[in-house]
Amino acid sequence: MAKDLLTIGNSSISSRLFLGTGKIPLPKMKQVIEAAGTQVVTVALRRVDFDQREENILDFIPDGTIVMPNTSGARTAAEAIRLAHIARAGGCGDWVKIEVISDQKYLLPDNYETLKATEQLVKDGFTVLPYMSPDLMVAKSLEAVGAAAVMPLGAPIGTNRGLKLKELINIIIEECHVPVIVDAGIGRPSHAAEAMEMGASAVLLNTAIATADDAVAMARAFRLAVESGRLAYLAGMGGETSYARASSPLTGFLD
Amino acid sequence: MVCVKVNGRQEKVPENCTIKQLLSQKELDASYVVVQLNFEIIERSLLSETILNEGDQLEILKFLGGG
Repeated sequence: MAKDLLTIGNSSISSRLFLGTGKIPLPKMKQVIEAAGTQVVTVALRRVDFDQREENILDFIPDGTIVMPNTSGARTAAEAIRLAHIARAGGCGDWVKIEVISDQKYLLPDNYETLKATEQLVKDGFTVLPYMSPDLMVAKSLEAVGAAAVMPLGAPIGTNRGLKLKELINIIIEECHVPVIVDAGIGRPSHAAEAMEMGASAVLLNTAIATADDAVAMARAFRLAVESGRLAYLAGMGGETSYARASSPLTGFLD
Repeated sequence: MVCVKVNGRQEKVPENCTIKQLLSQKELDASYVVVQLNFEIIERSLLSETILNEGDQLEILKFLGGG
């Protein structure tokens, strides 16, 4: 079988598990990334806290990993654009995850501001992956302005509730040409496998691994689930029926 | 001394203090941070020649874990 690569921007990657690095202790970071087999990780950008000596997270991310800064903290397109430019100056390359949120209870993305930020940042030469509420017309608009992928949420960030918005994500997978990456809400390996079976191009998760009792083992569990779901999608799953269909031959029975 | 705002806090720095000197005084490695001065990104190579002036607003940012 030909190598099953995912192309985003100018990069071709073999791992379809993208990993958020939040809440993962730095000494464990490398081990978790390696167990997940991930090639794309997200990081956030914040003010330096002068009262606390902190190490540099980039020192704990294996060489060759694509580092995708997010624009978390941005409430408007303008703030997201500002953060993206600062992140690029930080030397992580051109990838950026657009995250524009002003709803603090459910942390749902503001699709309108996200679209505005995406349009501008594509013009500025970024590889833009917007986090979005799964709305087909917005996904198509993001695609039209040059988003490298769209990243609909399965359930609100950090809830581990799985693919609550499955029907809407399915429509986006069916109708969009850019890769669809399910971001947020994936809590269990079975959720990740389900997303991949549906035909998602990848999944992005953080909390489910970071808060597991054994984050390294959970990273491996997710890696296997993503590979399994992807393989099942490529293999082409059998259809469902209402009534039983015998698997064994219905002839040649004993008298 | 001149008054500048660093990450939202008022601070006093000596006359002709460069951003690089301020980072050193705070024991920050310039290669770990990104600096914005009055909403303009300052390239790392220019940190040692950029002098802080009265009323400047400085943002010093870094990467950390995030989803």
